[in-house]
Amino acid sequence: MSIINPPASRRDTEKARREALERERREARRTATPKKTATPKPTRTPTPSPTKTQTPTPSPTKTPTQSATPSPTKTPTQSATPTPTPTQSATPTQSATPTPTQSATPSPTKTPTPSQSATPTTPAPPPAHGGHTFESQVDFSSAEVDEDNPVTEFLQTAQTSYEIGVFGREMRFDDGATFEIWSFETEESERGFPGPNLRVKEGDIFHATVEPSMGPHTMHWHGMEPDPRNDGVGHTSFEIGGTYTYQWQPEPGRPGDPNYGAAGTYFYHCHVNTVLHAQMGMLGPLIVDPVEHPDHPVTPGARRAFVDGPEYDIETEAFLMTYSVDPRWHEMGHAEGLSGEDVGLNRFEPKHFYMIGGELASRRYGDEVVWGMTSLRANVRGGLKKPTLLRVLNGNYMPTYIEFTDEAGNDLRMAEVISHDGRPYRDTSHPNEPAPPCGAAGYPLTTDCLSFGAAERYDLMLDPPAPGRYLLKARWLDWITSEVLAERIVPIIAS
Amino acid sequence: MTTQAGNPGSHELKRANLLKYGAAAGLGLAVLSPARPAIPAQPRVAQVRAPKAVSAVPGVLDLYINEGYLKMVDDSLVYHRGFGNSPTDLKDANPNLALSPVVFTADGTVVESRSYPFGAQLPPAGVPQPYSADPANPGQYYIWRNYWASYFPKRTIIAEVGSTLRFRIHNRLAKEHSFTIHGAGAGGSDVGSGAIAPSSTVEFELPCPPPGSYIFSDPSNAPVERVLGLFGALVVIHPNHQWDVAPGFAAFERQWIWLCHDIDPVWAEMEATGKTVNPQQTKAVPRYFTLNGRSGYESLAITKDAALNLASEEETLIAGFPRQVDVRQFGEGTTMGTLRGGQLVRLINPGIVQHQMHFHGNHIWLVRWNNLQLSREDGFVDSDGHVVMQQWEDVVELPPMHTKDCIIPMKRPPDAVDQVWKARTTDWVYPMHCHAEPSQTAAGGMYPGGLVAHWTLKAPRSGAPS
Repeated sequence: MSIINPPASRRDTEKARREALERERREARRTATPKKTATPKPTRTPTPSPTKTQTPTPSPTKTPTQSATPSPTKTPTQSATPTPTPTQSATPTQSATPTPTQSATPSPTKTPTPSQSATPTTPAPPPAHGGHTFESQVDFSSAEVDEDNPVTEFLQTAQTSYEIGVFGREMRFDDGATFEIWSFETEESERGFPGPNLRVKEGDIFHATVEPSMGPHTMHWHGMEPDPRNDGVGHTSFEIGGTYTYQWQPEPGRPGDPNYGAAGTYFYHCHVNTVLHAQMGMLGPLIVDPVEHPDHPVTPGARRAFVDGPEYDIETEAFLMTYSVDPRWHEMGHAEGLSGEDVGLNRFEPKHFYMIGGELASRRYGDEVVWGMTSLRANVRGGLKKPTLLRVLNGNYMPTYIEFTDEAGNDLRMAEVISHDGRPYRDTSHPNEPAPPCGAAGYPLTTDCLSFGAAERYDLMLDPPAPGRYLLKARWLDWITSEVLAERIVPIIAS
Repeated sequence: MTTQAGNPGSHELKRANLLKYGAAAGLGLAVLSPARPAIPAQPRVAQVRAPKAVSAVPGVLDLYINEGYLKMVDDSLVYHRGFGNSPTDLKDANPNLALSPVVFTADGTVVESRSYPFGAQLPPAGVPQPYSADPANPGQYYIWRNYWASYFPKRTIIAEVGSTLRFRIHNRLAKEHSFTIHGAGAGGSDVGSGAIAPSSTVEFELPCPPPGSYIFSDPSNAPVERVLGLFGALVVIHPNHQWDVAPGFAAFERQWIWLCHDIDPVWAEMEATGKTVNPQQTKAVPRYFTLNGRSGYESLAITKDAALNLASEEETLIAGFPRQVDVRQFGEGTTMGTLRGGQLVRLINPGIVQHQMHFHGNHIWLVRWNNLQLSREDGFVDSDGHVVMQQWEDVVELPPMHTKDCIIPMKRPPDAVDQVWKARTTDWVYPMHCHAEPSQTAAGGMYPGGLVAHWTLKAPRSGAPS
């Protein structure tokens, strides 16, 4: 890993060299890789020998019969209709009267020593992080944990797959400021910001084959919950030096069941020196669509937000990421700070504030294209189209507050919050009965404002009362004082 | 186990000398809710001259406001103040700035103990072992109910409902200080000792507040004294419902306290040299970020110090065996003596940064926020734009001086491919970190050297006890 940020002139030369290499690499990939199509494509070469970790009976890979129609894993026999029995504690060994000792002076703490007779004895757990221990924090931070070509265990045939690269280049934002941005790219997206929109359906096997450049990176699927190797965190699995195919399968939802289902809004980001890499732009939207259930059919031109969730209009579905830039950080190098030098990464002092996003179905990709939100369309209920779904993500490190107003600036409760962090809001008040979405239960979570901090996501159904022009305001707040640092506004055009 | 016995009627605090509690609680009284049941006794406080040597008083907890230097994760030393169990001096190599966990029992004793409930089994290395394998769900387990003790980190006070919290606060420093338990007074008001003059002692008592998670701190010159280390957590538990978030409300296997803190060495140095920080003039710039007093590799238990690692595993690093849960009801499992539920995590932020606690591997289920038991129905969005009801989250917003109690279900990570799950033979370790990412640094870099932890889904075991 590089340690010290090189001087500016050297850095410029280095950047030019890196960009040239990137161009060559990309060109090579473009000619070598077939373009991604809408139909599911077979995965890369099956890799039947999971190495490194446990291999009990790896009847690995190539199981097209089951991956083509992925059956929901696990069928719990007890959770769906629990029948609680009267509480009868196992061994409530409360010693309510610990022996008093009238010590005259404070004595050192001692731990009570309850009987261990009933305790199932087990050896101490093995230490985490591969059993490695470290002499110091800098020893840990600077440890190389990258693997060139780690193996995807039990590689399945994917229904959704992406080939993803990493790039860095200068980009101009809507206020005219330019910064060095690092991000992810696909063939389709080219080199824009943020990374490409990724989309997968519940129950489908998802693959993302990542070939980083500019040093090792990872892709963490924020909010998705696969096994640790596919979670994309450098210090609990590995950083990718060469290439790796991430694999996971979003859990299918079940109508009325709050324990199942992954449909919702997520994002992905690099989890190497994350504090820096995410701010440099290594992040992008990830959407999980629900399985279709016969009891909840879908109208043409619409989708459901989750399996038994409300329908929304595909054409106007939108994504908003609040983002801000501290220009000082965008002069840094890949491994800045990891060798113990003080580079001030505890101080995020944004000077530029952006509303990133727009309509998901019509995002314009291209080199150096920054996806900036200039306006938002919203359907008025009662028309031919379903309502508009707005997916929001806090993509920076500051708390954000958004509010909806009419054109004159009066607060307007025109948003219904239906999901948070990829999970619907449901009424769970009846243990043995279905848990309907709050709206269906009779209390839609309508609001004119929303507070959300770093990495949180909310899904909002927009409900403008009449055609016309409304406002969506976003404020960035200081993470200590809550002082308003900036405000930006985009118009909402309702029709 | 050291205990301080107490006959509530015979303790040595002179009730006749007690004054009605002071300024710190005054505002709270003004907002006492008439609808709330009256708390049986009022907090009381008395200030006396600080004795040189202190003899323990049964049923009374002595807290010493000390100062000293603490080692940060990069081995630098930063000046701190803190509530300790014993008097120590500035130059002490091991200043007592963080009290060891202590329990106020309903029968009037004060018990120093790292674990609670008393007599419950101590989980090996902090990990509750399963009741038996779940025959219907390979790789998953039935979980003991009302069985395992929990370990608690330093700076924790546990109180049983029905107890009286009696303190003697000894201010051993040159400035005025105070001790306040936030939200523990009538109507959820703050309640405290009021100002404690230098070299003085204040006797202070209050009736145990309702079950919940509370922050105590020195609110003087807020938030400066808190940043310097004068803070901790009070956890109130019903003695007949020691494994419930509150009576009849969300049972759990064991519980964890996660205390967030942010350290600004510039503020610390100013105060160490006799200045008084004006937080408006000198903006806080935290440089170290701790969870239960540890950062980075120390919090993650991957140091060369086995004792430190074990303490972190027992107190901080959540671990357990996978199980079936249903968030519609955390309670009795289908087999007598087992629990269908997860583990309780009390997220407590006495720090100054808005933390964003992100769990990998499992979403967590929010049940209580600032001691408001959240409803499962009739949710709403409050005027600040927060959804008020029980809910799933993978990032929990945790502003300064907020507490949130959550259940981590410890379920099979839902998006793992079936074949991978079935072949699992090792622990699966998932990070928990603050997503306000500057808090992941130490001394301006060294990612991940800040407020970080992990949680572990334990590997399948053969022959789980039944």
